[in-house]
Amino acid sequence: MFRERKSILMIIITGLILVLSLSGCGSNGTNDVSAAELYEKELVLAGPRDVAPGPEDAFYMSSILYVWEPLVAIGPGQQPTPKLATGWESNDEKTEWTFDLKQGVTFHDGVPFNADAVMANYERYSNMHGKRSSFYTFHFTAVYPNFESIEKTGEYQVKMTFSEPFALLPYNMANFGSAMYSPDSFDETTDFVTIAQGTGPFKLVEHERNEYVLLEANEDYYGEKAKIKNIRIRIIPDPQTRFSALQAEEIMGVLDLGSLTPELTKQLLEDDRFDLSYDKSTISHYVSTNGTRFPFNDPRMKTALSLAIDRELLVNEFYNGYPEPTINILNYASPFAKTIQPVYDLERAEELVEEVIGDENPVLEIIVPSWALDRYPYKEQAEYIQSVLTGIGLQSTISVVDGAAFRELQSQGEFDISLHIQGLPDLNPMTIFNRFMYSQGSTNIAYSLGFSNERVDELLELLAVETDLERIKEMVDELQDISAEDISTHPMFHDVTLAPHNKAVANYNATVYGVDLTGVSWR
Amino acid sequence: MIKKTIEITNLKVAFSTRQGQVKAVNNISMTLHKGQVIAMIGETGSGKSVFGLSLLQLLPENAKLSGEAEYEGKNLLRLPTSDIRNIRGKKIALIPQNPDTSLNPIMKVKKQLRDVIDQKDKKTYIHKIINELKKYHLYDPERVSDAYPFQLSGGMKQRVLSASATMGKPDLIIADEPTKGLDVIIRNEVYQIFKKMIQDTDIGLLLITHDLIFANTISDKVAVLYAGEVIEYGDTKDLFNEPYHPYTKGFIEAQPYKNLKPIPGLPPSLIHLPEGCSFHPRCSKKMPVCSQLKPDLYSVGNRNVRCFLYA
Amino acid sequence: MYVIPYVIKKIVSSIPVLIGVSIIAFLLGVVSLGDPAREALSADGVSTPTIEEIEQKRIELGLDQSLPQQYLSWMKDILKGDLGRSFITNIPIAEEFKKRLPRTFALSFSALFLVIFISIPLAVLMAVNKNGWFDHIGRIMSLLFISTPGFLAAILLMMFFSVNLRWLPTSGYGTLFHLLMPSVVLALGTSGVIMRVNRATMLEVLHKNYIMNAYAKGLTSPLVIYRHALRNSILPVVTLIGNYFGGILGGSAIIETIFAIPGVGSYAVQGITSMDYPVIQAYVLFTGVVYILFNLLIDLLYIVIDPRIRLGGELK
Repeated sequence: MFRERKSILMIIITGLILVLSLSGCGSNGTNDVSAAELYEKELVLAGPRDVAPGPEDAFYMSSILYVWEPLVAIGPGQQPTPKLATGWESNDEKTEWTFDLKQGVTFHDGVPFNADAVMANYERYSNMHGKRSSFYTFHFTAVYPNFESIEKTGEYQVKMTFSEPFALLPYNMANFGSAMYSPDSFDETTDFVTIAQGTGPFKLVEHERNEYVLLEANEDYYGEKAKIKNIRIRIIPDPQTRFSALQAEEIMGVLDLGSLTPELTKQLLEDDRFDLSYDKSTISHYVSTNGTRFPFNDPRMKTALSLAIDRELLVNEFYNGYPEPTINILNYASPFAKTIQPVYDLERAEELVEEVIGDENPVLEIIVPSWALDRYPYKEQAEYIQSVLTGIGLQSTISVVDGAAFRELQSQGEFDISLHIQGLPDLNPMTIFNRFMYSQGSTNIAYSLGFSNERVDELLELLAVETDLERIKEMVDELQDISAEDISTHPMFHDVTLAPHNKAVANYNATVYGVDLTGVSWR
Repeated sequence: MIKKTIEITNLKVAFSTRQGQVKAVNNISMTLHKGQVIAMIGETGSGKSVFGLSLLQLLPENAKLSGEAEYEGKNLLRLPTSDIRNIRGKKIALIPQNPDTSLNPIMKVKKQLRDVIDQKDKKTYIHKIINELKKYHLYDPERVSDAYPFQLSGGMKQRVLSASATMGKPDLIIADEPTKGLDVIIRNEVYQIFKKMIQDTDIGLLLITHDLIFANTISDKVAVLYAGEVIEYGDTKDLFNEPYHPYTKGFIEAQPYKNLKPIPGLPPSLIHLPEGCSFHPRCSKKMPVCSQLKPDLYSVGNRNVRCFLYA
Repeated sequence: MYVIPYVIKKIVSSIPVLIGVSIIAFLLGVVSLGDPAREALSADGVSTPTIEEIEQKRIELGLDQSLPQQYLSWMKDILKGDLGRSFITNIPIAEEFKKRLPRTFALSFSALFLVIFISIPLAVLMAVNKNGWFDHIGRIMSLLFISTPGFLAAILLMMFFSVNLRWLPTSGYGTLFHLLMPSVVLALGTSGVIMRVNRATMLEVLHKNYIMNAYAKGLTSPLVIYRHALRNSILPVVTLIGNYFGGILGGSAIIETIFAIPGVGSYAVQGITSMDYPVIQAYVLFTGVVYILFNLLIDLLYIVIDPRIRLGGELK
């Protein structure tokens, strides 16, 4: 009897499950709302990492939130553009720089933006010794080399003095180099004591670490005001989950580096509801070879590898064709960058390999950092390179290792080929050349590139003190040309910032680093 | 006066197993009366426990029952579960084999006894339990009822099981091998327990046992089982004084208190029973007819014997 | 009650275990491939620190001290209640733990709830329905549960319930709806195991004499199972469940990452991949404490539910 009753219960439960699983999807009603309501309607976006780590971070939050603004920003053509500084002048020796500051601007907490505020910020920067940041490790002496002093020369004017000529100061200062915060939001220890107060079109009103960030439009903003009052950015670390959240319309768009893999982006765009905007990114992808041991200690080998890789194919097959293939070490978002077309010559590559390898049969070790797999099809890329190597007579193995082990192997020189990215830290072109191609460059050593070129060292020393912008441009051009001929690392392509979004949102435009949140509005 | 009886007719129990049909009980007919004690004796495997359990439908799933066991106008063997439930423990109770394993090891005695009572009020049912336990000469019934089975001796557990059966004041009790595996001293205790039980009430008792002394001590009638059949049935004193069936004779002779002389041979396979009389392969008195035809239960005075010697 | 000295003895004897565990955790970090100082300086993904910068960082982080020195100064801080700061973000670890633990606990408790209240009743029903259709379906389902990897279950559930049906949020933390799918995924494997084990123990129990006796007393099947069979069949399962729960309290990195629940599991994995020594050490200590606590709890639980352990021998 018990058994009979239980059987009936079983049937009912099974039936319920069947009914529920066959029921239709939830529907979205159409919303006919007024413009005011569109302004009030919260926009929910998502990103892979915490964009507002908080007081322990040197910048409190990423620049892509449009909460803080710098003195000098990155403008069209990736040139340094006035932001909180309306203009600047220097003496002929480029040792003294005077900045005029924008008037009528207040920080979100009401503190006025003026020379005093700027002084307080620079006091903080010069005292910040290697303060950590997820976005930009700020070394004052690297951003402001040979800095002597800064003084207030007017209510809305400051002057910086350097002991050596520094022609490219505005390039260094762009964006992360000159972020301005209300002096009330930090104290003498250089730590933030409240939520950082900036001058931007959005305020950071609330955030929960690794969960979400809540922005509110700054209605007193001096420039183009935001078109949506509240933007919530959720932190969703897994790319597949972000993809599902987009499909479920829980979020309207994604932002920040690696917001959606090329593969998932392609899948997403097959759905009519979604659209994509993209822009040049400051990230370039490289394949670095170990120049400190055989076989890549021979420059012919490096040339062979570069000639054997079909970068067009790589970009089209794995990255949906958006990025730009290149052999220029300098990223195309740099104001000094020129386009250098890659050369693909498989025959020549084979010849060179023959010359170098002869009868030997080395097995090359390719290493891939595991964190990259969440963003890019690096495993597939490594397999492609493996097949390229086989094509020119070289065997190889692929190891995926976690970030720390990857960097250790690189610095110890226990690999042959490594896949990695490099972002432009600032607009100063010398940074990249100094790191990769200077014989004592930090990256040169840390990545075991084993690169040395007299002319490069010479040019860099000259550039350090050159004051004429035209001359600088010429020398940087030469450096780029050298980088394509004498290989330190193998650039693959310059990447794009992808901004996939739901069509319900208009003007979701990608910028070189993020999305232009001020322009975004509900359709 | 309606006499509470179980009228059993042609009861058969077979178990379907992979090796074949195990015919455990083959055509038993008898009547159990309230106020009468019938001992059912036989070797292990003779079918006596199966017979007892079948009356309350307590056999496993693969048991096939046929025949009738009429009680209060209904066939016990065919009653639906909800009906037989009302009879179990209340009208017809079981004292199961093996006191060591028949009590839930992690449940207090009083809780297990409570299963048989239909009382919500705690004070009342505890009172009832203590009273019942007292009847069995447990010198500290409160402590016993509060104890767990593993804390009690074999004799105490037997008393608890008996109390559990008599608590509901049933008409009939089926006692399944109450002294199996117990040593002599405890056995005597058990004899006393049952004697008292019979004296104090007028319950009917089916005593399933191979303890002949026990059977002799308390039963009115004896049924001897062999290979699932009753092969001799009669008044206890007479049967023990003068057994008629060769098997009964041999069985008694084999007892420790007699000559300890075993019956040659082994009990038959219940899957492949012998042709003719099921005992004939071991019988010293066998005749040609014994291997060909099955003997009926022949009446000899007050005795029933299933043997051609008495046809 | 001999329970209290027993508990004290257990706690005291677990201290050397904790110390040993913390030493091993410390050493594991040290022998791994990588340099914490370099990692701390590379956190932004665009910087490559120079060798001098790395050296400076090493000194700042105290990595230039000898290993025993480093270990002792860490232990000293722990005993003062200071769990230290992350090498990478400099965020105080105790603060992070305080924020993350409740989330992991909520997730673990929900999973535990599902395991207990779904797999045990199912196991009982399967045992009662032995070889029937419910039993067969149940056994196939339990096998499915055991062999489905967490991430696959997560993806499937998310696709079905979030994207298609829009009944549940894909990810995040806040309401019971947010906890539902991750708890199910977390409970899946163990539910399958418990369903099978409990079914087996239940079948064993149902064959026992005291069960037949219970029926003989006229009890209904549900009562027999609930009053007599259930508790006896659960005893062996308690250890399983206890160990399971202790394990998931340490957090599940995969589930926390997929469902965007910032708990201690994902914190630990972040710490491990970025060679964040203080985080790794704090986490290992935490899981060590949890494990020891749970073993103690299981022992105590057995004392409570099995009177044979509690009381021992015969009455006089």
